[in-house]
Amino acid sequence: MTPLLLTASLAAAGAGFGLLALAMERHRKQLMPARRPWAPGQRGLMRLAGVLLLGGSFFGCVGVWGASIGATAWFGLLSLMAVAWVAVLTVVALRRR
Amino acid sequence: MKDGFRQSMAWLHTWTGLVLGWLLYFIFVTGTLGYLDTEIDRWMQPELPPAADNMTPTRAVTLGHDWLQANVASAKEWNILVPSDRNIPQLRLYWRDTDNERDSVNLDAAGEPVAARDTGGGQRLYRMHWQLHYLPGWFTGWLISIATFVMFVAMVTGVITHKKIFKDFFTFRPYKGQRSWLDAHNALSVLSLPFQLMITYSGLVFMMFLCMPLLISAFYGGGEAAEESFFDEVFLEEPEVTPSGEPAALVDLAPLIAQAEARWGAGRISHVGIKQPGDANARVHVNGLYSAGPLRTSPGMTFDGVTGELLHERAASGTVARNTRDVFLGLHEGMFAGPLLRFFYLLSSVMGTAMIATGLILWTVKRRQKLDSKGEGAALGVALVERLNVGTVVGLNIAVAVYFLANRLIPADFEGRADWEVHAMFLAWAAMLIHAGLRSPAQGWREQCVIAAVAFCAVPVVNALTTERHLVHSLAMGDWVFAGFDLAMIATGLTAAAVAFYLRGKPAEQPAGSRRAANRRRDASVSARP
Amino acid sequence: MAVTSRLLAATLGGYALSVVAGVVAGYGLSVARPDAVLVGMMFSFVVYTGAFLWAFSTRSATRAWLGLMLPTLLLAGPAWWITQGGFA
Repeated sequence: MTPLLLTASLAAAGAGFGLLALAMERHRKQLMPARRPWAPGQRGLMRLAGVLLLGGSFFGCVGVWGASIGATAWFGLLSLMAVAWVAVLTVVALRRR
Repeated sequence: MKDGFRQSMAWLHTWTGLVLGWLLYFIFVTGTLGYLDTEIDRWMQPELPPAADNMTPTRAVTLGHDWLQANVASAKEWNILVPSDRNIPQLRLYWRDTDNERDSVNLDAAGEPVAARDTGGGQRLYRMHWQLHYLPGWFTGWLISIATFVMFVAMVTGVITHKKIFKDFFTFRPYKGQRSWLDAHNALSVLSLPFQLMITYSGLVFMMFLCMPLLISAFYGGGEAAEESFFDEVFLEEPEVTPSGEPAALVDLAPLIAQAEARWGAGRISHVGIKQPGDANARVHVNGLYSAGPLRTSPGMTFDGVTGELLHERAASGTVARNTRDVFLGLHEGMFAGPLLRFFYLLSSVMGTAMIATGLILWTVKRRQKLDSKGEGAALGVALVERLNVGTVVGLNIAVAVYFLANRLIPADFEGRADWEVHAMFLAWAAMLIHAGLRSPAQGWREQCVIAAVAFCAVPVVNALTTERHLVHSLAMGDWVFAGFDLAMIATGLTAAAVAFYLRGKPAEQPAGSRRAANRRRDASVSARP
Repeated sequence: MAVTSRLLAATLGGYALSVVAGVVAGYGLSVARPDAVLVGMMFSFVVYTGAFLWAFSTRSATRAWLGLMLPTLLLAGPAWWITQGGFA
């Protein structure tokens, strides 16, 4: 149960940040250059989904570790996934140059 | 004075960061290393056996008590550290003898003492995190308090100044000179922001008794006695019991341990303290592990040392105020963390260290670019900061590698070797600062990265040449502390080598674009002069 | 010169303000004496940080001093009363 829940939390955080990045025009151009810019409604939806996924990963962490340690671990998990996305986006941007 | 709130905060951020940046870098490096203090301790005493994982508290206490009874029966105080978790890997005994001198010994699984080389170990590095070294305690306490507060102001002003904190959340644009350094500084800070705010504020909480003493006086009155009574009330100290002078046999400890384990859970004993063993007024203090969470207190039970009667029990949790303080301290130390959470702590700690380094470098890149665009030469301040950056950002790490090398190279029976390991470290740092002073910044960065690569990669090699516990042996035995340490040294060395390789043939820190523009402007101004 | 003045206001004036604010907050938020000290200390850092931000962002060094000294004087009275045995 725990490794599954942990993987799910990591994945949710990763997906959440991915959506939040994608919702930004700068990063949409890097990740999906072929598409047209998002409509405001689409952007709002992506942001909402992203935030909900991040929130979901919080509950996953609490499920793995309990409330107090889980909350602490969640911040670390977020840092890790955010750093991962910065790395991915940087590489993508360099490739496209 | 700059107008605009954000601008004034930017000014404050720059100055708070610059004035104490190198001290804060030192604090972050020693803090990061301090988080691995027990692992470093074990690597630096290769004579000790691997962790005593299988020892139950009862067995540990029995072995410890037997040794203490046989060897230091007349001591005023005995302490037995039970090998319970990552923080206490060995069965260790402390005692205070009749002359009030403290001494200690490690016991192996059979209860026999193990001789290990005298070293400050990882604990010494950890202590430098808040005590520095060579300086008197009263001075360093205040200096660290001030540095911590300045760091907090730097963090808050940094957040206020960072206008595009959401827009630039995922942004890093490399190969663009000053822009890249700013992006890096921002990314490192923002992506670990909760940790950095927590670690800094909780650092203040650690120092608060020292730097806010007036608040004790306000509620308790001035003077030492008032302060004593405050600490007694906060920490629920039991009154000291003096020896009666009457000899009496110490009670059997095993049932007391069993009672404590029944209350707190099997194996959850951290240490046992025995005051006045062999006296009629003996006391046995049994302490549990830190509660399984950030609350950094442990439960305790006090027994009568002769009858075994439970006299006093102390819960881990206290008032809201006390728990708040203890949670801050617990979050700061992160000792409650399991392996994955420890990895997160280390990641955040390294990001914080890099945050400070990139901030210091950014300052010089910005100033250097401004000077170049005006066609001016080196201003003294910028030149000094550039060299301090090299000597500290790279140089301090080289000094740490030298500390580890000294541990293996200084003979195990050399008198005062523990002090000399530390001297070696600071001598190496001084040497790196001098080297940085003598070379241009570009040369300094390149050369010190090469030195770092050599120094760090040398550590596992020297380990293999001077002990049996080299990397191949550790991997074969599944000794992850030793293997991990050696591998971490190699990884650090290779990283330094990669940076040195990247910097080869680079004349300076600026991007090509601004340099061409700067040269053009300088030539224009030269030709315009009569 | 203005910078030095602001710095002094922040460090000295800010410290004074954070102490008296800490006393009042500690007293107001706690039932027992040791807790009041702990709460007061933890709160004082927030006030001190705020004092620094204030001292370096206001229009003039004079305003920096005033903005810190006035609240300090205002709180000094209650703080004094508390030290004279508010918990007794």
